[in-house]
Amino acid sequence: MASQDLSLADQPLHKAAQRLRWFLGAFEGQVARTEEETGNRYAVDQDKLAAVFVDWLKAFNAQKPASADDKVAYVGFAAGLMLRTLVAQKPVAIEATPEGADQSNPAYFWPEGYLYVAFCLNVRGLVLENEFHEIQHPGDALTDARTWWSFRENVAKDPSLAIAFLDLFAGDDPEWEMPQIFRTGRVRAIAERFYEAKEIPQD
Amino acid sequence: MRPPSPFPPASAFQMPLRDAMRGVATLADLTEDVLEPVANLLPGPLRRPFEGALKALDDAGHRFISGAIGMEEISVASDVLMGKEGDGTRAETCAMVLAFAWERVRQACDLPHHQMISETILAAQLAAAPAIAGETAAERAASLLGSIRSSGAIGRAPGMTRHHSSEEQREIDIALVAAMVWLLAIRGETLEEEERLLDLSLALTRALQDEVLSAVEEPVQLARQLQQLSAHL
Repeated sequence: MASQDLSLADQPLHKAAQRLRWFLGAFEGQVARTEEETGNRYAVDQDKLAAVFVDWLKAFNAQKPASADDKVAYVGFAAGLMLRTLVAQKPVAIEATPEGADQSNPAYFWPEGYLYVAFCLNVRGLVLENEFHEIQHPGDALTDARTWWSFRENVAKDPSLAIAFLDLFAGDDPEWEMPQIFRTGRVRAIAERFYEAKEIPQD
Repeated sequence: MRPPSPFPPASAFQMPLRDAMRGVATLADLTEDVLEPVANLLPGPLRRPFEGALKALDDAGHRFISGAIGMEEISVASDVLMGKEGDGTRAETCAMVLAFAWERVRQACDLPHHQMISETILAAQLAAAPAIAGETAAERAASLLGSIRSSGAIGRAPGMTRHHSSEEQREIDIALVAAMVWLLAIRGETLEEEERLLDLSLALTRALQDEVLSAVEEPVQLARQLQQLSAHL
């Protein structure tokens, strides 16, 4: 799941990423790169992808924090919102995987999910690095077959859990309780007193 | 001093000619649709010339529908919405670009053949000062869209009838919003990219069509929608 150059515009990356042209270009680039890396072949529904962008934009604007202190955390949350929208709307279908592909490898266990995660992690990492000088360090969960099994099962029932799973894959602390609600630094600190760290859902 | 020419310059005929050719292309499309079942009954030697004649008519119409659209023309049309000063041909150029956008979006929406646009009426609308009023580019675009809607520039017989069914009006509104959003957005670098942006503008407009359609008769709300959509194209 190698990173790639997704920057297409002169404007700040977090602004460019809020343009449909950037989103589609970046997604197309991710598809091409993942196909090359895995040997998978994908079919992309452009209309669904445009609808994904619009739904994501609405969700993104709905919880945009006012405080500058929350901007970094919101990058991760916004990437999670994108993953949630992708897994819910399914704009991509797998057409073919290499013969004899190892099904315990996430790229072949769930090819579409793998593509979505790769895209969201790459955009997340790129924005954090370019605009906040922070390096993303994906966790071991990213390659763990059991986590991927749980990921696929759980987001099929509740797509909002994709937000927490992306945090897990990115090496951050996931928020399993109501992951669809962005918590500002202050609210997060209060919430931590009430919620204990939860295990990854296994069913 | 030379006496004025009794004939208007050739360029004066270009817009009406393109409007006429839109009619020809539409007629050919309609004729083909209507006569297709009959054509299938004809023996091969007769059917082929018949189909060939229809296709020639269709090709001739479509070939002349769009004027010479390039980056310069698109930029001029965009400048009109931005309120930038220009020469006296701006209205005609903007009308030509809007007609180009209409044809592309109409085909993408699979709108019926008979939904034609008149470049001549559009240019007259654009040349009339009240047709494009407002402080910001989005307000001007909303104002122009309202003028086009009420001008009869689009329809079965542009300039003759202004009635559309609610479904037709809905599709026309989506297409017009998509064209305005495209012209308001940051410009592409090539004509191919501009065409792609127009397609994306339609996809974006369609994805938000409930919000767009509820705003289309309210200039302030429409300007806000156009501004937001173009910022995200």
